[in-house]
Amino acid sequence: MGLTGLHFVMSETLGNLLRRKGETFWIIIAVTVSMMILGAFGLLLTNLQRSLGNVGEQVRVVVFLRDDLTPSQRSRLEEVFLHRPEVEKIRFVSKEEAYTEFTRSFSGNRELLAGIEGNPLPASYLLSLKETFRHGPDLERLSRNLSSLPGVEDLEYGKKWLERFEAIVTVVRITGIVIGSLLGISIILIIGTSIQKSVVRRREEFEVLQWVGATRTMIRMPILFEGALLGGASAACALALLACFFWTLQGHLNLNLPFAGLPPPVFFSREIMGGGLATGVGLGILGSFFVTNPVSRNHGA
Amino acid sequence: MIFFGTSTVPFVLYSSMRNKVAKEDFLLPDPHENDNFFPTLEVKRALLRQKLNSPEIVQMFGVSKSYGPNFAALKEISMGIDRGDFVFLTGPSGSGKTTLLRLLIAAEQPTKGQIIVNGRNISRLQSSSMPDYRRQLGIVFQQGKFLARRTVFDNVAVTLRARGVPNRVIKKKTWETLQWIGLEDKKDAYPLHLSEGERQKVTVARAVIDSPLILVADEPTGNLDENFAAEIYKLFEELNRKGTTILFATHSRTLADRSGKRTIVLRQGQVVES
Repeated sequence: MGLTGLHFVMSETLGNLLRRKGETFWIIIAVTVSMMILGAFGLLLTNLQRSLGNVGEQVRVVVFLRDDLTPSQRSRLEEVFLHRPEVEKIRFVSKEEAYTEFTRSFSGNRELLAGIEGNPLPASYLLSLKETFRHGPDLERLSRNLSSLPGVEDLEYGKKWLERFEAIVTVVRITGIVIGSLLGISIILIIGTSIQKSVVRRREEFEVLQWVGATRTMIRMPILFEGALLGGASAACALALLACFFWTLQGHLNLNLPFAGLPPPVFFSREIMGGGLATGVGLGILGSFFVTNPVSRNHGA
Repeated sequence: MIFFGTSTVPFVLYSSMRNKVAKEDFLLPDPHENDNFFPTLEVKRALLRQKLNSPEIVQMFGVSKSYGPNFAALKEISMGIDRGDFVFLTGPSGSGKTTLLRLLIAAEQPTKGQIIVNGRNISRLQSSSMPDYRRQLGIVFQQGKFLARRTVFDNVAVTLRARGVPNRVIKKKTWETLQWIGLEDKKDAYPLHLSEGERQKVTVARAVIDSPLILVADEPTGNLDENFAAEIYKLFEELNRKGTTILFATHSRTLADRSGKRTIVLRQGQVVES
């Protein structure tokens, strides 16, 4: 298709959309709403995954040691920890350090501190884990193996909390995929149906174009471009509206989330926004593609 | 040397001719579409003659068109139309006029036989060549088709827009054509707001704006009162004087007889007078 052909296609596309302004407006509204729901799920998922990563960094296994542990036993244990494939680094916390930390944390509760005689806290090792081993089953296997070592009193890694968090992320991810697929299909149907309606109304137009020697591309491309423009415009509107909602809520969330131990929320990255726009364009093209096939068969001969 | 020179001339002529003949002119037959496809020597000669600007612009060789096994709309039609001719195609309703025109504009393929138009075998035209072929034609139907949501100006200009003509030329030519048909004051009106006769004038303007080689008109005055019919006929005559070949289908034998032009009469799918 040459430059003149492209000019024809573009002017036909824009002309058709502008000639039915009302219809175009409502299609964009409907697709925007669907895409906003899709985007909201995406945003929730992105932030949940980010939180999981953040929580993951804090996932540590605390290995409490027996009080009667000799220095040689301790160094053997240290060697075992360092040779485990899951362990990234270790830190030894002596009984004294643990007590100092404890008194600092509960400095406001004098009664509690007064009730404690001596230093009941054990020495411990804090094991930081490599990223790939920060999941429930890995942690469970590691704690099972370490707890049987001589000199180990007890182990702790917040098992239930981590499992619950992972389950929530999985549920959100699956829900996101299901809802995303349904919304994707509905977007294709909305765009496809509305373009089909317009194609049926413009049947005579296609016939005229055919008789005056318009090529198949000239007849078909404006319909595909319409779909692409509708999908792209709706995706852009959905992103803009989501961004507005997000920034309105962001102030409130920034104040509260750190208290819940979660990082402040973030909006989509530029790459994801680009991907969102491309998805909108793609869904629009797909919707109009199913409509243009019969058109080109009947009229583009 | 002389021998070499004289033998080269026909060879060069033949090669240049070969290049002009499109591949599709000699494609192998599709038994489902046309059971007598192989171009005969006669057809090959006609193709080459037309490419050399022979007098004939349309030639039909044993053309038949059937719809199902029991209905033959056209039976073994062979005829020719010369360049610049004004030919009436008449016959009662159902005689095959519209079918014949539809074959000529390549809306359908003949069941049998071949049609050569301006050096092109259109019985086997590939879909990719269809637009190029139709750019040589002007097509007018009894029931005009329009771009409903566009003005008269846009309806006429669409022919040039679809053919990639620059905007400046489109504006000039469309304006001239509207003046020619006497609708310049209605250029911003929509087809729905025009009378039947004015609408038909718009379709004529759209068909002739790019000076077609052949104007194919199927009952163009069928729905019009006498005055508009006469106006349309006058426009056609004027166009014909400028060199456009016109094939005018009408069931009115009187109009054809009064014009004194060549008349092809069809009856039950066969040419009974030519």
